[in-house]
Amino acid sequence: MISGLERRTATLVAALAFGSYFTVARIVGNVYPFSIFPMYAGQHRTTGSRIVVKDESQALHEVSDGLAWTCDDAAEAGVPPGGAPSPALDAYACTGSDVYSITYVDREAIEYIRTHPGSDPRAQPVELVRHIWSFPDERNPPTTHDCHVAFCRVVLRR
Amino acid sequence: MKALYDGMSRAPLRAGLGVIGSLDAVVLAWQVHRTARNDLSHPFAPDFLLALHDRPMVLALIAGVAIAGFVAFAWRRSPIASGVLAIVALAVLSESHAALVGGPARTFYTVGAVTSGWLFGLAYARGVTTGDLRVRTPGEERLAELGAVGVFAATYVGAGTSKLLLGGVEWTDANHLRAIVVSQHPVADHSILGRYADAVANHGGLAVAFGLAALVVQLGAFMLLVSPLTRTLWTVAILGFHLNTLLLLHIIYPEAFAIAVLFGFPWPRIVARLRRIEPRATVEPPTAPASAQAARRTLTAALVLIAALAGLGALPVVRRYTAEHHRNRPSPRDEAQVETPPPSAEVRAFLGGLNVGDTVAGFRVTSIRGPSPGPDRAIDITLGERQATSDTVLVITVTARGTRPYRAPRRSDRYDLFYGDGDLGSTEPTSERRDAALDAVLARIVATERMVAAPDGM
Repeated sequence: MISGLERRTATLVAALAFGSYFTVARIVGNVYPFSIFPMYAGQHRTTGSRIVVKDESQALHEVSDGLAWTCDDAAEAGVPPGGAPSPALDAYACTGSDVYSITYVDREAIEYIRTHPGSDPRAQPVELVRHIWSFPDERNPPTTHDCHVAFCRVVLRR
Repeated sequence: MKALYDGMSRAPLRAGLGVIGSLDAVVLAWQVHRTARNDLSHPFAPDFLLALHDRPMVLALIAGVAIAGFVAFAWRRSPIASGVLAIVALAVLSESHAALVGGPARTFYTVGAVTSGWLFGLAYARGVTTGDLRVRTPGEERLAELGAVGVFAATYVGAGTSKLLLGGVEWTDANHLRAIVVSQHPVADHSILGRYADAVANHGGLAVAFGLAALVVQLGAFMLLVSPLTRTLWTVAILGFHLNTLLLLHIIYPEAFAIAVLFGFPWPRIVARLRRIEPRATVEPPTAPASAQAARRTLTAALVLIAALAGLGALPVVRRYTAEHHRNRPSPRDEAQVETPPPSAEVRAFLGGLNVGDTVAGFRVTSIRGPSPGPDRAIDITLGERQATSDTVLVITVTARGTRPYRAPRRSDRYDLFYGDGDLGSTEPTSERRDAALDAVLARIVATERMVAAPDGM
């Protein structure tokens, strides 16, 4: 049988544990084991985007679908036929105050390209783009458009 | 207050925390070992945290201490001392990992937090009964369980509060979740998961429902403490939230998921029913305070401990350090050192000759970017000022009038001016300084807008 005093002590311990973790985490931010867990808690967004591959038929692919990458990035600073010089491969390319992106997703994509270089006769020309979804309002589906990041050659696995 | 495990052995809870904590120690040590210092690494991290990457034997030793601590904790061998040792060792590994990758991986935090809550309850029980933290007290694990669940609930309420504080009530509107889903989910995914993500991206109502549900589940996590029944019901809601996050965003926090499963259901009773045997009841003498004086003394000690932790956390050096987490973009001071691409002549002319390095209302112009490729076709002017604790950053955004569906704080005949913060690590300027900067940029635009066309792409 649990007495009233014991019950009050139990409630006090639970409340103190809850309140102290919440308060200390709010003050300190993130020092193990305290955290305010602010993931994806940022400001209101009206766009979303990610870096993807557009092939010659305009179909979109994940960067990780490609093998043996060569791009006209900073290493080559190339000028593609009929195109303007591309900027260096940059995970922040085509972002700004009105284009939302998840940094680590795009950094992983760029890192994948950098760590999977190669020259393969089967490689096809593709365009690395930031695919941008814009949400004009809450009811309608998004509109999309692409922003050029770099011209590349790659073997697409699918 | 009743606890879910009243009348049952709490050994599964202890053992579960021990297993999860030990696995975290191994994973963290491995991740520190394979992560070299890089351009994302924390700029103010102590050398010993960054150097652990190159010292596999030291890493193995720290992980070994953490595992030994968790094993002793699970076996109730000096549980407070061994538990504290395990948490300190995990903290070193976690902070080293955070220093190397530029910010914390919060999935590892839950087991440390919940174990801390368990130790708090255990110490409290010993404090009010014998006053000696080394002496085991009958029924003490009842308070340990409640302390652990109290902290577990606080992690979710903290996450929900962060969403409201950083995103406002707009966090639950359709576009916020849709933006995260499309930015996270692979394109051209024709699987059932891909179609699910498409459905959320295309139907605002679904996104609003999920956003609201996430907020309700997180902010309502105090229900874990109300009664054994609400604890189980809210655990089901929390598991649903985690599973939906996994399906939509491919993100899972395994430790939080496992701890919810562990603490949310009466496993000894469930297992006994499955085995069709009578559940073994554990008789627990009450953990009532030995005296009013013991109760006061323990409460005072607990409050002093909490105040000390809060005081340490409030130290400017600590806050400045944590504010630098996940600062992926160059800070204004970095931008002063790294060459920022200058704006085009067109954009400079549009802004009355403004260029990177110029001064506006006491701020230094650290970058001018745009017009952006987004729907706003905006020009972003980043202004920065280096401060002792963190940089003051203000971003002024110029768009054509009416581009955004809300009122601009400054307007010229043809353009709207908005302001925004820098990244999470920077501080906002005062409203007076912000207004002065907005007025200074507005004056430049007003002076040129009738003579200079908008830059190409705006």
